[in-house]
Amino acid sequence: MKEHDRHLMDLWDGNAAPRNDEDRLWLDLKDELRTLKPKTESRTQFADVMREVRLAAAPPPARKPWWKWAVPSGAVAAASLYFLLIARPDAIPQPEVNMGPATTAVPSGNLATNQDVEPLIDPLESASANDRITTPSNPAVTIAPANDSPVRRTNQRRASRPASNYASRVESSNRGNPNEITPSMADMARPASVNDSSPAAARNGASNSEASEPAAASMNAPTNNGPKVVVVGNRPSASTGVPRATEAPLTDVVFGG
Amino acid sequence: MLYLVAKLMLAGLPPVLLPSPQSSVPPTFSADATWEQVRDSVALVRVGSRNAGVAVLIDSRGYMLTGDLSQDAVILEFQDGKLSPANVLTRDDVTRLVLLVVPSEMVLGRPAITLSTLLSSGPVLAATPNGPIRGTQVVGRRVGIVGPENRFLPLTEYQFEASPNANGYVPIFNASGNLVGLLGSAYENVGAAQASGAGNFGPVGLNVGYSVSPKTLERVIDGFLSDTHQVNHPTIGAFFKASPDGEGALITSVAPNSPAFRGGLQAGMIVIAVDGQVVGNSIDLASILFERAVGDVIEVTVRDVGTKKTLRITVGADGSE
Repeated sequence: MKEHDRHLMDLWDGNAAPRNDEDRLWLDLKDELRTLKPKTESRTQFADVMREVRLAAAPPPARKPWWKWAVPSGAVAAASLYFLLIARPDAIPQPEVNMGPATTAVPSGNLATNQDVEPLIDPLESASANDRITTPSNPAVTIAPANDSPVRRTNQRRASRPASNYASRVESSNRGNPNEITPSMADMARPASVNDSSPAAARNGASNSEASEPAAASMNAPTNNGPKVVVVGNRPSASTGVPRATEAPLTDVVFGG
Repeated sequence: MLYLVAKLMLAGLPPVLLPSPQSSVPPTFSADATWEQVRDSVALVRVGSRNAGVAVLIDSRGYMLTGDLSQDAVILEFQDGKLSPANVLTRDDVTRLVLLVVPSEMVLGRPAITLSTLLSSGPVLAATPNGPIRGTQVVGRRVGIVGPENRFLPLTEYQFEASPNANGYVPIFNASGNLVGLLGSAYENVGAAQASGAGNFGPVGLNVGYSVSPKTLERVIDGFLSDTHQVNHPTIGAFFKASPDGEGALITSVAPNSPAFRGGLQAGMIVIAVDGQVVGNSIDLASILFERAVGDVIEVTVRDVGTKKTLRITVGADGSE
C-alpha cells in the first residue's frame, strides 16, 4: 500500500496524472476539500466541540435561590393556615338544599316519617319513561328511559372523544369502547414486522422500508421468560443515527450460521 | 479514638488506625487521560456536509476503522482540525465494519490504537461526533443477530451517560486507551417511543448501545489488515432455532449448495452435538459454529426422526457457497 499511498499523494500534489476512476475520485475529493477549507474555522461540529473535552463530571445543577422555593412554600403554608384556623371549613357557607315543602313541613326536633316525605316520592314511584312529573323544587321533570340517562349520554360523549394520548386510550378502552385499542406490554415490545398487519405493528412503524429485516419479521411478542437475543436492525434509527436494537425471546429467533 | 490517633501521629508513630489513602482509594477511570491518549487517532467521518460516525486509526500505514458506510470515498476530519480524504478499502458485511485508507503522510505522528480483547466490566469512553462521552460496559457478552441473514454475532452491551447520537459507528476505548469496540447499534424500546407523551416503560433505550465483541473485532481487524483485506467469518449455510422439545437446535432450512447441504444436513433435523460438545439450544450451536475457523471439518450429531447420526461438514467462509 505504500506505493499506492505514494501515488495518491503524487496525485494530490499534482505530480501524477489520474489513471483510473479511483484516481479521479481522489481528485474530486481534493476539490471538495478545497471548498471546505475556508469553512474550517467556522465549523463546530467536531473539531471545536471535541477540543473542549467535556469529560469532567457534569457540574451539579444550580441550586434554586432560597426565595424561589421559600416564597411559594410560604404562600401555600399561609393559605393552609388561613383555611384551617380562620376560615374553617364548617364556617364556609354551604349552599342550601331546597327539599321542598315535604321536608320543610317536618316540625323541628321531630324525625321525619314516611308520611312526611310521601308527597315527593309518590310521583317518582308511579312515573314511567317519558312521563312529566312535578316536584316541589322542580315543577316539570321528564322521566328519562332507563337506557338513556343523562349520565349515560355523558359517558358516551367521553367514549367517542378522540383519544389524545396513550393514557386516554387506555382509559377509553377500560370503559369498553371497542374503537380503542389498549396496547399491551407485549405488543409494545414487539418489533415492527413487514408481515404483521396487527395494530401493534402499525404503531411500531412497520412499513415496506423494514422489508429487508427478516430478523424482526420472525419475532413474536417477547415474554419475560428465558434468554433474550438482541436483534440489530438494518437501517439507522432517526433518533440515534445507528441501527436500532430490540430484544426478542430465544424461542422466536432463527439464527443463520 | 480520635484522641488516640492524634496522640500517635504527634508521637511520630505510624497512624496504623488510619487507612492509607493509596490503599483505600481504588484506581479511578480518568476520562481525560483516556481521551488524551486517543484524541489524535480518531477522526470524524464526513460525507459531504453530513457526519457519518467516527473512524479510529488502527495501523500506521493509514488504515482506519469505522462502520456502515455506503460511500466509497469520504473526508476525515481529525480532532486537530486537519482534513484528509479517505477511500473505502473493504467492508465486512456481517459486522458492517469498514476499513478506510488514508495517505500515510496524513497520519504521521498519530499513534495507531491497539485492540484489547479482554472482557471486563468497567468504564469506557466513546468518541462520538459530538465529543467524547463516558460509559460503562455492563454485560460482557450478549447474543445478537444481524440482518439480512440473521447472522449470530456476540455483542457487548454498554450504557452511556448521554445519548451517543452517533450518526454512524463510534469507537469505544477502555481506561488504557485501547480499542474495545465500535458502537454499532442502540437499544430502542419501540413501543415506549411510540407511546411517548404517556410515559416510557423500561429503560431509556437511547443510552444503551451494542458493539461487536472484542474477539469478533479482532477477527475483523486481522482480516482487514491481511494481504487480501478480507474477513472470513465461518459459516455452514444453515438456519436454525430452538428445538420445540427444549433440547438441541432445530434446523429450519439449509441453503442450496452450502457446506451444510453438501454434508447432508436437512431441515427438520435437530443438532444435539458438535465435535462432542453438547448443543443445549440454538445459542450453543451458533456459538460453536462462530468459534470455528474456515476450512475446519466438524462432526455434527443430529436426531432425525428418532435416529441419531453424525454428519461431517466442512466449514466455509461467509459469502462462499
